[in-house]
Amino acid sequence: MIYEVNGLSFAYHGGPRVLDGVSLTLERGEVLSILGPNGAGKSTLLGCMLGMLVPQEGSVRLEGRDIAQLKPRDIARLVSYVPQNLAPVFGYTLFEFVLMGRAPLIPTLGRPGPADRAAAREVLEQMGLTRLADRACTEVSGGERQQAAIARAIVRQPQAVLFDEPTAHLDVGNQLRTLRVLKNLSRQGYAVVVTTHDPNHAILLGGRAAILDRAGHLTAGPAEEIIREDALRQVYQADLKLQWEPQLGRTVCLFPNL
Amino acid sequence: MRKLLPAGRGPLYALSLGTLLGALLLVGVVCAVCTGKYQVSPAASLEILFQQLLGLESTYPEMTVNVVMGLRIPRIFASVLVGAALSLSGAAYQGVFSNPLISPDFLGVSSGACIGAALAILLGLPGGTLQLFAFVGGIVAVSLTVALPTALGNRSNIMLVLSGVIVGSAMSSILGFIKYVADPETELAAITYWTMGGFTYISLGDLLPTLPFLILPAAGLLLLSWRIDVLSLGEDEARALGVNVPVIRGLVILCSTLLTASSVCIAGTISWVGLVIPHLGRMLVGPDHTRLLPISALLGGLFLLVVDTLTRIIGAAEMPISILTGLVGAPFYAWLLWRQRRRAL
Repeated sequence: MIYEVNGLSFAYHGGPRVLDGVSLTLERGEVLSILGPNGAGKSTLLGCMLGMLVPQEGSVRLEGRDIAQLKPRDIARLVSYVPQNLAPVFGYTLFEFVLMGRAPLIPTLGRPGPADRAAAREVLEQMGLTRLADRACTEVSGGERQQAAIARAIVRQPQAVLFDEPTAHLDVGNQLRTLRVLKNLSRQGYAVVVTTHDPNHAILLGGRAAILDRAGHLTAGPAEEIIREDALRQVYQADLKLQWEPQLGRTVCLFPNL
Repeated sequence: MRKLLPAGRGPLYALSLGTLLGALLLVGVVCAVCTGKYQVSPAASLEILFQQLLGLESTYPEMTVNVVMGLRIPRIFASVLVGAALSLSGAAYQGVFSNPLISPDFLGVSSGACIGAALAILLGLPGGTLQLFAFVGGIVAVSLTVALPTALGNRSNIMLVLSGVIVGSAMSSILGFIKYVADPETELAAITYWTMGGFTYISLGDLLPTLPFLILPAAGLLLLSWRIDVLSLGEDEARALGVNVPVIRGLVILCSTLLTASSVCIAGTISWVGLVIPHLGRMLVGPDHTRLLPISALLGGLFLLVVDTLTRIIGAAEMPISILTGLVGAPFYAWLLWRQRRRAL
């Protein structure tokens, strides 16, 4: 068991609870898609799972250890995080950008060595980014930057990778490419957590899904059990429709007419 | 196998560039020793320097020896050190705040250090405490500048710059007040002379006690240079990459503030150097701080050496150094804002 979240409750500065009694587990090679409307607390949940936010109640255990007792470096060795909005200020090359993913393995006063450089080269090749390795990360497209961020996340070979709305700023083609990469990561044995607004993304990824409602309650389980028409309509307050698509061999989520 | 680092940014390129800049600096120093209203030939300058270093009796007139050893050498040494220190701290501040629009003066550090030193003079404290007060003044100023955007809930790049403007103005008013209450005969003259800046009256005796406060923080920043890369990705990303953000950021700010305060102690406030030079360095070797910091230090040393030498030779009376740095810096900042519009830094 990589993650074990138990009865997690969180509120910002004495405000209303954003998370209320959230529990979930995560195993190696598992994909967990967390669905929920804007402002439901999906990013807050990831913040707690990364040890960046301290919950008022409940606990997060990472590989059996309480995350509150772990140093940022120890957490980062086990878990990588891909933020929602990647807007680098300085034009590091994609190689330099990916190399920074090795930071938790390098001493504070140290610099990357040959092994770190070799790992960065290998991951860039694996992600098909070698041709862009010497391009500035401020000059590549949003999709390419997203791929580089994923490369940076896996260059230290963590146990789990947490994605905060990885498809939010991408066109449809790049959304599909990113989802394929996430699926592949889970096949390689990484535990993958993805927050998303789109039920179709959770259906495509399969595995497990969770719905976080506005009250901060989380319902988790196998994707086909969790992604139900009534649950989606209630959480998004929209007349969504689930329909079996025989040609695709899966259910699709349809929008109503405007 | 395809080269993963472009020719313009590889470590070998940075090393070659560093060597070239080092050589240029050496040539610049020799030229600066011979340049000035009092003519001393390069051969004579070098001979005087070696004679003095080896403790030999001088074969030159006392006036010539005094010009070289008493005026020019300390001044050249100081301008190179201050240029390097301001550029190094500017590059580190810009990296650690992920903000290319800031510099030691834009964060209010220089004016804070000035207030600290002026206060030490006003209180009649001994010379050694001046440095400490300048450092504390710098730290208070940078802390206020950083705290303001956080308190207002807006941590954008422009907000940090505006916050620096606010703190800088407040510091100028406080400095004005200190001057107002200072004794016009003694303290005011000392404060005015001190805050005016420049390298005109510098002596080796003033310079040497400051050296450890320049060398140690510079070494600290060079050791932390790769961590500054990671910090420059932003607070959340750095934290997710296992960086202890408050500790490392605090260390970088301490070292940079110490460098700025020491520079202020040597030469007063010299604007723009800490902003312009790191950008020039980034254009040459890219944003990687393991290369950017040493290259910025060399470029900054060379830049201020050239500018200070120009102030000595342009016009009949010596020109204040900030006039020349401002002439370069202000248009550069305008260009930078234009570039920022396209997000291509």
